[in-house]
Amino acid sequence: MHKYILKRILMLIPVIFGVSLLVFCIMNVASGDVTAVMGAEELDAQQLYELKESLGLNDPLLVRYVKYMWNLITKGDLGTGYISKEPVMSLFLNRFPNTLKLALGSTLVCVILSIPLGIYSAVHHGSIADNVAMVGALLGLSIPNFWLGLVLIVIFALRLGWLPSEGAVGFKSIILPAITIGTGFMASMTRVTRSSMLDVIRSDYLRTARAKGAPERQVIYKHALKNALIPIITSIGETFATALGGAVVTEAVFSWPGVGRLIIDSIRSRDTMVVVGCIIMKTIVISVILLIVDILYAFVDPRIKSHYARARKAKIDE
Amino acid sequence: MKKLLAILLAGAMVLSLAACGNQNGTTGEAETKGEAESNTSAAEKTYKEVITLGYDQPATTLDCQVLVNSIQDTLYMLYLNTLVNFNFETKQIEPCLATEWSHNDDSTVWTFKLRNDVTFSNGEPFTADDVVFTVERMAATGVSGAADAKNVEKVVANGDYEVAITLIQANMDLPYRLAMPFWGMLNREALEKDPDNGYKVGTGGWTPVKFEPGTMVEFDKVESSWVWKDVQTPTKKIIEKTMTEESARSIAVQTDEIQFSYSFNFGDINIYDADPNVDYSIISADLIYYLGMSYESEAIGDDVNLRNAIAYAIDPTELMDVGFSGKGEPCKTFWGPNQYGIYTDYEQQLGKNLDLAKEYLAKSNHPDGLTLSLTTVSAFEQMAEVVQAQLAEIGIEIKLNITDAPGLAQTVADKKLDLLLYSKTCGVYGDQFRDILVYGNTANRMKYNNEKVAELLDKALGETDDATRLALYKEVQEITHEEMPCVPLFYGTASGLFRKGLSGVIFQSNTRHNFTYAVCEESK
Amino acid sequence: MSKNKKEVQDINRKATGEKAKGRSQGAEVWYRMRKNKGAMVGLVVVVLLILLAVFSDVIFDYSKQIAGINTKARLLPPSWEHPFGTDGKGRDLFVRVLYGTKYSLTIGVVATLISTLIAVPIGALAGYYGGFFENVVMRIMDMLSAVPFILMGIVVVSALGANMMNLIIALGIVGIPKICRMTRAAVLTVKNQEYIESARIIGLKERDIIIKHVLPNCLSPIIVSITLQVATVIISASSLSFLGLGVPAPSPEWGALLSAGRDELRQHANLTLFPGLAIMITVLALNLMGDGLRDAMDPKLRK
Repeated sequence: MHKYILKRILMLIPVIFGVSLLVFCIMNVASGDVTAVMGAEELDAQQLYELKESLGLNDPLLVRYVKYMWNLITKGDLGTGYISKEPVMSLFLNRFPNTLKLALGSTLVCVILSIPLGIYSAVHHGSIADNVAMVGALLGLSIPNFWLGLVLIVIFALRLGWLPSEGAVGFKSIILPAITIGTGFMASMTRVTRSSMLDVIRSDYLRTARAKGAPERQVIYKHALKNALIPIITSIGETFATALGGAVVTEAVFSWPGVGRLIIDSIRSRDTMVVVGCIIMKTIVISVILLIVDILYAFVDPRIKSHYARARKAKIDE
Repeated sequence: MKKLLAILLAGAMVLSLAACGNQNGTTGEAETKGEAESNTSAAEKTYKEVITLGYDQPATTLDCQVLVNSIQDTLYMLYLNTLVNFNFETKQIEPCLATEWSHNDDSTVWTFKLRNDVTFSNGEPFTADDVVFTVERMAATGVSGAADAKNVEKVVANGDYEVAITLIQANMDLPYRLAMPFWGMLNREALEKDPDNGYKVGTGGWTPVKFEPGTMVEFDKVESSWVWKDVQTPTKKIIEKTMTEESARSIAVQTDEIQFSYSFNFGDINIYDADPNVDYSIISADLIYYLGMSYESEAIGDDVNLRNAIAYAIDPTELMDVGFSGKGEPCKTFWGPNQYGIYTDYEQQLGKNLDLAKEYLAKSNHPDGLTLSLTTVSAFEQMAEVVQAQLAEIGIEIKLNITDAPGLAQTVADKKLDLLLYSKTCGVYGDQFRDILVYGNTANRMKYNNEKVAELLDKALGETDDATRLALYKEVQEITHEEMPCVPLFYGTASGLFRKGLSGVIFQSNTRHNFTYAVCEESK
Repeated sequence: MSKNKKEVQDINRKATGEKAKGRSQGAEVWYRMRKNKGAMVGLVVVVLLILLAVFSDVIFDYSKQIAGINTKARLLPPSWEHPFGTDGKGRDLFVRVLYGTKYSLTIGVVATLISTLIAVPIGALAGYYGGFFENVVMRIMDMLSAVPFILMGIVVVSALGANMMNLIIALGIVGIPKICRMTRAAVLTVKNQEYIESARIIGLKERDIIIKHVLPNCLSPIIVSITLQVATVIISASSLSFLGLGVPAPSPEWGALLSAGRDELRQHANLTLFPGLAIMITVLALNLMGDGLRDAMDPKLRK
């Protein structure tokens, strides 16, 4: 079991390094001369050199990358924003809770909408309701989420005035953005729920339970759901990780003060350090979460569990 | 299956139509509701302790010597004071931290006598040494007033309450420059103790207590400040929030979430006329919108014919229509609207003249048209598209480069600037356009370098005879009218949408409104 | 005594009384799709959109209707003359939305094509040969997909500059991992089948095996993937345009139209609603079509 975990963690490391190298190089090569933005035209050659030296810009790209990663790993330091003059890590940590809140809210919305729908569809498989649910889920996938966000703003914030259209103050402000993101993942989660419920419903041990005379409701909720839960939980985990990463556009629509909006603002002001730092951090966070989901899945899925248990037992018997 | 699909799609369409139906009213002619009146009546009124302002542009720093723009200056005015103030009503320079000032015969040495009862928010007294420190810091590392600081030969404190600034070049307009918010006086002790935050310490009536760059700034009242000696306000806290979405900002005023919104969509005036809780103010501003043409652009360079071709292809009224629902005033010259020395009596007036434009184009280096990039900030994107369409009419293809202020600096530094659609604050004093007409100044992103113009401006700066001065400025404008470093487009407006109970705000035509004395009644 | 396939079918037919159904595999898929109403609607819509995209320049006059401005006719509400109303510069929104089909479809199709041309061969080879190569390829795919889709798109576009070509390249690159993984998984399933084993025993060259036997049997999940990918790319392209990182002005790309309409959200919501509706309809049609294809090609669902 631990071998599995270790293996997965080890595989994660080159991925993170690869991503950070890629993003670092692309952004720094493309961003042009940063010193110019700091009013460097006034400086003569010597002062310019010193300025660049202080920013570490005189080293070749790869050396800068290594120093950058070293700072990140040993000191948790992502450098200082060229424009904003604040340490990137603190900017990120400042905004990250907001993105986290939004991701949690969206996942919640998705779960509340998808799972009952998926269960209902599975139980009433083939009926009209099932078809409607499937098309509805598909609709959620097809609607561009920034458009949905704007439509919701028009209806609930501008016309009816029930909910705020921007900002992150108070409980009310998270509702519209969470719905905007959550409905996008509905299709996938509903489908996973439905198919895993279907698999379980048709399976043998349920037939046994029914044969034993257990009431249908108990059959579904106690037996079917428990076993169907595994892929559903994985889906929830993946949804959460994706919501964490992909909320960028929704954050822009709702002016939500999260990491996504920070990235967009920094791209506009050409603050490369902030963009690179945030993207790398976001990637690390998402990868770690997906890793945890995978590991939990491995613990929970009886097939994998038994594979390792058997292996252990075999070792003991030797 | 198909039926269900049809029902669902129909449902989606009904939803959309419901949302876009009920469009109330047409955009009628705006009535300028004027400034908010001071409320001096009875004690039953309750006043807010916290006033929140909503701005569209983010504030990224609190170091006044680093950055200048409308929001930055507005904030600086809350916690910093300058030596002198400019009164936009009387158009006179007034004392602030300085009580009186004088200059020697050739206007190179300026002496300021200072108040002796001012303390900084950290308790340190304000003395002449702080003035020396501020000027020296600006000269060393400052950006916002660098041009002024470069002209300072030395600054000397005579005792605690008198300071003498010696200039390299005579400058009659020095007081106007020192009245600018970014020349706020800083405290030597504060910055020596804490170089990373010491610039937040000022003499103003407020002090920043919380700062999230790009998102919000929070100010608490400094009860001990000299500002509150004769005037009291019930307000205890001022918060400035960045709310880039105009509709969100306007709604926030209507719901009392914020009490003031900087700029609003003039097309929605009918909504605000109908709302009894809000008021608005639209004043003509000392703001000029211009289309700059870079001398460092390979395509444009100093091709005067091309520049004139572009100038006469633009129709400023269309820009005003699209950008500001028609509000504004087309420019007749490249000069501030209330600026000393404005001259508009040209033979060839500005404005759209396609035949003339095509004539100039034919004489230029690119008679068959060319492709140029147009850089601007996202707030002006819609107007930039109009320029794009207008220039297409004479065969110039435009590629838009939408960025923001720092990105603009980058574009200039990379020498990638062709055309620039931007705005500039003007002033009342004659020398105000130096920063855009003389090479080496920050606002001169076009890198216009005409020695004659620089010479004329310098002469006018030290000139005491009115008629001569006017003639000098007239000549400057005639030159720019011929050479077209920039196409002057139109003079803008400063606007605000606010709660009816808001008062004490000094609206200034340079868009830097003074909120120090802001008071807001609680709405019933 | 060897009866050919058709003879056997005829015998069965006579026995069960079925009508002759001598279909090839392709026709079989088509037949099953036809029965799926949703998929058919999707298909029809997609075909209409393609026609619209192809003939846009013939139907509309770009300089007058798309790029030309007319500030006297600003922000008019929907009417018979302007079914969707006019935008902030007096341009008819209906025409702009229709013309915008061209951008979305082009970007969607070409970007997905790029992804496919790169991902399918790599994924197939990775699945077939396995080992170190497969490991390296999968790690690279992990790397590319570790960064959230839209962020990667933002990085590439802001590095290369915002225009249609770069947008296509960016989305093409970002779309590789999904198709590659799908191909590899499909190849893994097929490669261990008996008929592949037989082909090998007969002595066919590896290359021939892959091209002639493995890939054709993987085709169905790949085709479904591609269709759905086009939909994803279209949404991503409009998202990037919405952020200002997509097709430059004055091109009426749907995301850009949405972004421009935002300024007038309070009283002219039509400017935002209709372009969004266009995106939704296109993507929905593609998804329905893709779903229908998946159901039609899936042997397990044979009724």
